[in-house]
Amino acid sequence: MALKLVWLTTILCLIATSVCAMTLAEGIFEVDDEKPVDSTLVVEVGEEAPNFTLPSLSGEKISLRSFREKKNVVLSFVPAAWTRVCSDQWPGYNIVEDIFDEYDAVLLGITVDNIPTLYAWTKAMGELWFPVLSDFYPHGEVAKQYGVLRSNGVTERALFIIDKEGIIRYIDVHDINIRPPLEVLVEALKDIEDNG
Amino acid sequence: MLGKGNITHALKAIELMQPLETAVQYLGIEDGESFSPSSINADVLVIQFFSMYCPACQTDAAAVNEFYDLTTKPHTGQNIKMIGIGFANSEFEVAIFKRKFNVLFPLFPDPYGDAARALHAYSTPHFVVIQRTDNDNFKLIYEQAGALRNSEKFLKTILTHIE
Repeated sequence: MALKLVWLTTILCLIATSVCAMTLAEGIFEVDDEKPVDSTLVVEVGEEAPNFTLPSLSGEKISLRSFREKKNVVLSFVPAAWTRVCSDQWPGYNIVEDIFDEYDAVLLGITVDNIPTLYAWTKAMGELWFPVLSDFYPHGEVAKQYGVLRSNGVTERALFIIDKEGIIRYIDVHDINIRPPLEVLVEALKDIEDNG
Repeated sequence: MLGKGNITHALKAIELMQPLETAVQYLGIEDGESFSPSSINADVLVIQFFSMYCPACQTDAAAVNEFYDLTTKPHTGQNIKMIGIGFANSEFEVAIFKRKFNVLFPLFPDPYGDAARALHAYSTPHFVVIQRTDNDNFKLIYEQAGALRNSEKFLKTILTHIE
């Protein structure tokens, strides 16, 4: 009987995924406001960006160095999957691929969540055009290299722009409770493309 | 949700930036730097709270556009006007949403969430439908937290709530 119920539920889920699949809004875990910034940067604008290689959702491992001489790179660290502000940041980036293209930039989304969690979370956002990387193990190693790992093990809400020479050109370690305005990032990208 | 609170007071407290000239004509408002939605020339005003960052708003955009188109047809028998308010969105972010989804009705930024707070719209998408009862007073006739999905059904729902 129990097996039949499981089977029936599975079939119903397959037929009506919109009912059974968790939407992004339904899955949000509410957290109280946190200390705006809880780490100390160990890199600065003008320095060479620390290289890293991280697993992505697609299964491919992605190295920062692979974009050298080819693309500007925007690193978007967000604190945690399934939390409100984080879930309210990448879906916006997802509709502005043309702006990133205009400034010859790729976007790499990074969290300290593991791949299965990132898979479920980003699937609820829709199809993302940019790679999502997991800094899960060793935990937060890349975040530590940049100085954006908070004391509770999540990352800051931070944006870095690294130019085609591998140099850090822009850093915004934002208040973790607030989404960074898109226009500031776009202005910084424009400045790099216009002024080299 | 707003419930049956003082909608007239809430609506008059909202200040939106002056839109482009075509939108000024559509809304029937006077020239100025800003305006209150209470000054829109409409018997029924539909306010959509959205966000450029909200996947449900992105998915719902086509249905919302269809709904707006339906409101402009004379067969509704009502003077219905529609605006969108970008909750916690800047002018730049609202402009991206408008361009990306080819939105034809006026959209306004609400960067600090003041308008959303006034109308108790704490999630997106969220629809608030207000009817003018006389020159200076308004009544909340329908409210929906969540996607519109079906434009014709949504219009029918609103029309049944008009008094």
